[in-house]
Amino acid sequence: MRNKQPVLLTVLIECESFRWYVAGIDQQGNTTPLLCSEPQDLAPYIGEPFDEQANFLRHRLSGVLQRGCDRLWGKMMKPCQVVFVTDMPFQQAEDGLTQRVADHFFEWMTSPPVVFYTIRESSPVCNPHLDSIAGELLADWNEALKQGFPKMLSKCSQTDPWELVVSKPHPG
Amino acid sequence: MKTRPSILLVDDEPDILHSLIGLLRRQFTVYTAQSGQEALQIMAEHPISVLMTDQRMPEMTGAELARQAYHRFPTTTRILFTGYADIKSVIDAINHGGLYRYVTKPWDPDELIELLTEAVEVSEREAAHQKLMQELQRYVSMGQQISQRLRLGPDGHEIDQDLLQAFAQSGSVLEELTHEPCKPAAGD
Repeated sequence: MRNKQPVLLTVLIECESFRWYVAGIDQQGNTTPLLCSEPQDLAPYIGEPFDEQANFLRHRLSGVLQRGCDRLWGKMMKPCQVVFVTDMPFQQAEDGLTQRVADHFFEWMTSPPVVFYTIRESSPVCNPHLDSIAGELLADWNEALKQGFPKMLSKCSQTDPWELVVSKPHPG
Repeated sequence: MKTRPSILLVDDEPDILHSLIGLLRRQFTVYTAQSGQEALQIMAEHPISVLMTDQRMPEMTGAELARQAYHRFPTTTRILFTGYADIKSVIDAINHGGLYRYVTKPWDPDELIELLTEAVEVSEREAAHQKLMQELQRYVSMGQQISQRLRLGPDGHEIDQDLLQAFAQSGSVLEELTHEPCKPAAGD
């Protein structure tokens, strides 16, 4: 049971729709779609004070990682690194929220380590340029992410590959 | 065949519990609760070796649940898990909830099984220790009663044969619990 395939547990956050997707990307750049949320899943942070916004996102995204790890385990895979990607800064929030959340995961989670990217504005949709705002990708995984992330993006327009997770309503 | 140890998982998010049941049901008897109150109710009704609770839940936090469990069910090993933690909740949970481990999400499923197995062993050691202490107290108490009656002399009360038999049985139990034969006192 210990011989599990290492993958990048990759979380794409669509900031405008407040939705997320989780997939595994193996070293050959193959993508295994796992889970996605409904639109507005991350929206409960809107209108909260800055610290509460960060707390909510840390909590909810940790749950996303937990579910992702569980699904990988069932497929005999194991994350060697967590990769977050936001397609833009978190919306309807102060500018620093994305960086705060990124720094939290980078500092708090060491096993597996975290790298947090944003997609560079105006970079091509089929081959997006990722800018790291916290952490570094593990050596030897650059090509895998470069190959696998566009495949993940292309699958986001389909419903079949993803298991939909419905979050419990936020108590507010 | 040895029965599977009982663990209680507490999280207000049902799908996290569902995943954990799938992961752990082969090794453990798994109970689940979606609130601290429900968890305490289950612990009152079933012997639980390990309590593993989320920190961030409405109404009762995991730290508060651990604190109450520590006082009411001290042989249950307590584990807190959370997606993130402010330092205050960590300190509270450790100081007042007697935590065995603080686990952050996401956990590695293989490591979680190992951790829970260790936690069960801790609980079994604690339960054995408590049983030993109770039996020791009983033994000492009976010994005190017997010595009291012996001090009464030939005109005093007769020593109750049932008491003597219970005393000898308690000594045997202590020998089993400590894995050591009771040595005769000096002069015997």
